[in-house]
Amino acid sequence: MLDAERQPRPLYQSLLARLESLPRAELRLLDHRMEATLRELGAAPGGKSDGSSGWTCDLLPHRFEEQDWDRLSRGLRQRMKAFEMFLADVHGSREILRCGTIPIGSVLGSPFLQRTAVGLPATRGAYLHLGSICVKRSANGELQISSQHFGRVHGLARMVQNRRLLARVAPELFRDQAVASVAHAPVALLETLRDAADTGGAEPLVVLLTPGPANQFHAEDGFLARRMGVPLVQGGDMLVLDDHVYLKTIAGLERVHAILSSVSERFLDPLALDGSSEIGVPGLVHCLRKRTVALVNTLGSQLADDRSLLCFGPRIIRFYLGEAPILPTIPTLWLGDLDQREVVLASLGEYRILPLHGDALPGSPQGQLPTEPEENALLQEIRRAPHLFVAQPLAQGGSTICLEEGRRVERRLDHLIFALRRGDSFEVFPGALTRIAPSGSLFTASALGGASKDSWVPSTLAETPAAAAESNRRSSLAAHHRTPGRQAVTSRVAESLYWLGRHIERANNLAFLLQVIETLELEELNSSERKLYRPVWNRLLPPLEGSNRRSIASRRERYRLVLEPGEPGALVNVLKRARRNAESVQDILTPEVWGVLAELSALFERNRFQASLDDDAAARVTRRLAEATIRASAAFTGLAGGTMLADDAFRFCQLGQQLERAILTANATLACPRAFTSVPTRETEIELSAFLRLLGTRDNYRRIYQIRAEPLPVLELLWQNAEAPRSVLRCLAKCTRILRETYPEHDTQGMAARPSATVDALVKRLRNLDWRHFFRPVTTLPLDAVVAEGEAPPDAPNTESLLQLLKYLARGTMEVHNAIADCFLNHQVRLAPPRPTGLDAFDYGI
Amino acid sequence: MEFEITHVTSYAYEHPAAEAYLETRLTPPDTAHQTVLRRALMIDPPTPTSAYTDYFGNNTEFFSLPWRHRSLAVVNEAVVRTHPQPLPAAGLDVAVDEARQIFASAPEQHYDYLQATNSVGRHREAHQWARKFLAGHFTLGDALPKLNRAVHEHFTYESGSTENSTPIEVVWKQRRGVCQDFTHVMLSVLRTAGLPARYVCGYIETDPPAPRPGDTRRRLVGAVATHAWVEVLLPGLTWVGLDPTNDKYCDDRHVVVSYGRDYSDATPIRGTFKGAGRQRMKVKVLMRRRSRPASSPVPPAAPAAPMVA
Repeated sequence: MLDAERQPRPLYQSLLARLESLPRAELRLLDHRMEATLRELGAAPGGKSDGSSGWTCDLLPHRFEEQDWDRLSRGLRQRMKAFEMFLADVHGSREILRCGTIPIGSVLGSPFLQRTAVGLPATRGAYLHLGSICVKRSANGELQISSQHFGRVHGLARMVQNRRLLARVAPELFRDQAVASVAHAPVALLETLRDAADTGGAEPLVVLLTPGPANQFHAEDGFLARRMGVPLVQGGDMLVLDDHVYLKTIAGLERVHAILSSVSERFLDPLALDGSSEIGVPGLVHCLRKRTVALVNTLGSQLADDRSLLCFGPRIIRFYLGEAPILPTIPTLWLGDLDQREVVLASLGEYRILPLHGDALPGSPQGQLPTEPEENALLQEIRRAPHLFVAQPLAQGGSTICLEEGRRVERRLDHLIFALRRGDSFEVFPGALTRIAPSGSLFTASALGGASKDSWVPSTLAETPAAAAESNRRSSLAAHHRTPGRQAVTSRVAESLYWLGRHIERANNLAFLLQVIETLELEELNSSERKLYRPVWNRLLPPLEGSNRRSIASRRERYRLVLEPGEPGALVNVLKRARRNAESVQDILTPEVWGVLAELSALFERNRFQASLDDDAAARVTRRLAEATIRASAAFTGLAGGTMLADDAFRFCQLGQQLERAILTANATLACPRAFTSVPTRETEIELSAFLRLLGTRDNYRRIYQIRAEPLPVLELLWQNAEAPRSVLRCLAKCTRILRETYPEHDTQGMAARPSATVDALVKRLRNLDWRHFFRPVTTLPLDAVVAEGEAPPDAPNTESLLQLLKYLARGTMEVHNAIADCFLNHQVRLAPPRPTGLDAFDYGI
Repeated sequence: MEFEITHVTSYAYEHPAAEAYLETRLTPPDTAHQTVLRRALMIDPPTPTSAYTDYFGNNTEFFSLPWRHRSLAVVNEAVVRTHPQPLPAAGLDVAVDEARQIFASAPEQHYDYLQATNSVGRHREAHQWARKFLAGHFTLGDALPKLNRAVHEHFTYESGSTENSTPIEVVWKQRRGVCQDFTHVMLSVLRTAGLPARYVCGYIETDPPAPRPGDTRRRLVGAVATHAWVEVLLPGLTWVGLDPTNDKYCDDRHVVVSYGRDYSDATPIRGTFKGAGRQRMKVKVLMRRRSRPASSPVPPAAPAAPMVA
């Protein structure tokens, strides 16, 4: 961008003039607008994902000059063509090795050669479908290839995104400029993938496989998947059955036809490749072998990205194409070779050490020259395994101007350029992801975080073959036809939302209990009442996690129940699980909903467990956190209903909430059987009253029955009442409604009807239940019978049958979880051979 | 000789597995030394298998059980006729140096079986042994049995003394191991010396546990589980099998099942389980010699029976 006098070249003068004619304040405003737009997209620093480094896009775009772009695009096409032949050869007859053109060990000894890939059919007969190269200027100003990415390709989405951002934030820049469009890239890629799928005319299911939210490219993968309109999936979302790959969705198993992979090859299949992988799909390679699924790029392509092969690029091009390379490669030394290693080690300061693949370098931060200890650590690593490193000269030319807070600053840069297979040739997208090195650094940051620029190619040069444009339009239309309002929701997404709902409700319930008890402690109870209340408190503690049931009776114990990290059922841990589930479906949650959860976890983060806290302070913390949890849970429910798309995925969150509440109520009645099953006394009345209050239903009870707490009406209210928000019947009826909304068409069909059938049966049972059968008319007993001591309780037979009934109903309620999990989440029902009923002990998923 | 082999692998899970995926290398190949008369793989719970030939030429079967199950058993049954193996005299006559040169003329063909792997490292000891036992002027016929014997004598066979994951340097140090370790040690010496060598997984007939009085035959180590040994490539591209665990050339009591660079390539069963927690694997191999009247004519070599799953 800069000329010999370090002045902007003419190409940039009008853009710079345009930007700098703006008052500085306005420029800053543009910057902030850019940041806000990015945050809205979940990509800015400090945005939703805490791990990612975030993207930024500079206001001043990069412009390619005509002759440079022409060379770059021809060079990339030539290189992909040659490496396509190279990969086919290496995985086949190995002509190039037989001829001794390149050393055998460099190829057969590469850690990226997958022997499993030898003999596998290539996707549509080709290895490379999408590829990119990274170019930068050498010290004398020549554009050189510094790395190539023919295995997994990253950055394409960001190239598209940068253009959208800049056009949105500073549309005035584009006035009178002939800039080639890159907007079609995602759809073009989808088209290539659909082509690769080879379904013989049927509508293919294409997915983007990501390593998961922990991966640095996750946000970018998510963006690309959205732009292509395909599901973003993880390895666990798929399974292999009868040599086919299926996606687990809540609508059942859907056959997957093509996979765009963002996962490193060795992790793709723990069975056929690296056995330690937890992010792959076991059996995937076998499906590739059977040609039932297409992988882009073909397994084996990542070999081309091994940096120790970079220096052979020119030889490979000459060997297969008989042409001189159009683009030079940056001189790259392989440290596995003794001579080259000595050259590098003798003048280490002049080289940048890189791993064979990716950016992770032990003991050395990216983009900065290493400090002495870092350099020593690196040297040690090089001595241990020299063959895993290469070195490239540090000296480089080319720098650019960025605008930071309206000021011009000079930065290093490189470009990622992308090409896509179109039949037998490659289309180079007219644009680039121009990456900007951090201040004071010689290299662009690792991976794709950090600053970048939109990159312009003059539109006269853009390749827009009419045929390609036509097929784009067709494919995007087809894509719309494919998804008439209902996207396949993967079971993992549904499961995360389901558990998010359950954990939020569980936290809410526990927080409410704690809050009520804290209040009761402060007010009305006299000591005898307290004596009766306490057992109820303890029993109402969800008997859910772990075996060590805690007491809730003292302020200290309650504080522990809120915050102790070692207590699995503590509020803080329930919320952590809720948060983890939320994180894994971040892209589905609205910022409002996410905000509620983020704020709550920040509050818990500020109030960590302190064993030394005195009782008063502990009680204060308990009250504050319990209150905040209740408020957040209400806000969550309200905002989720108000801001989120009420689609299939979201319904699972509601389903989780309703079912959790039903299970909690069912368990609660089972926890205090004595209050229900013994003859009413003053004591059982206090117990029942405590019970109602702790469940937050005392006011409901009073309004409906207008009598003191008695077993029969209490049971009726908690189990059968159609209006009471806590009643099992009401919660289950809501579950039925949600299930019916989700899958109305399945209701009459075999297995899939199971969850709603299970719930329906239970709801019906509850509706028709007459509690009076389980109670003797105790009111007719003589008054003295109640107080008589030493006598068997007069309603003993009823006690037993009532207890059985409560157990039966509670079990039935929990059974709903299994039905939902088996049908929608883990697909056991659809696959398993019929299993003997009644023999399996169920895991209630608690 | 004819052998009936039953190889049972059973998994017990800590929790019911939700999904299980397995790959087995359990089909003995038809070679000059053995003919497979019958072979069947039975899986419980039943599921269909899908076969292919892997990179090392092994008959491999893949199967998946993506539904809840509490245990898994894989029963491999084979009837194999072995033929006496005359030693390839011509190949064994060649000197080590000469053999090295011959193989160096087609390096891309032999690369895999000359390289170190994770389990077959090249440690100081391997270099020392290579110099000592595989000096250039020795003929292979002299050197190989000596190396085989040296491994047999230097290391003590002790079942349970190592695990699959025990690194070879530990084996060198503790001088104890099982057939897999004997094989890895010998492979590392052979490859260090520039001789292509591969790992063989298979079965071996052992003598009855209680020998008759007066029977002085040595008991062979190996059965009850699968066995492992070495094959060395000789000039003329024939492989010769050496069993360092038993200090002998392979003969008609060995049945080959799979090949690879090391154990992990040739491993008989590999599995990935989801939701199962820890799993315990039990292996049991029964190998019985079929008694056949000496006069009965040898039936023509039949192709392997179709697999039943």
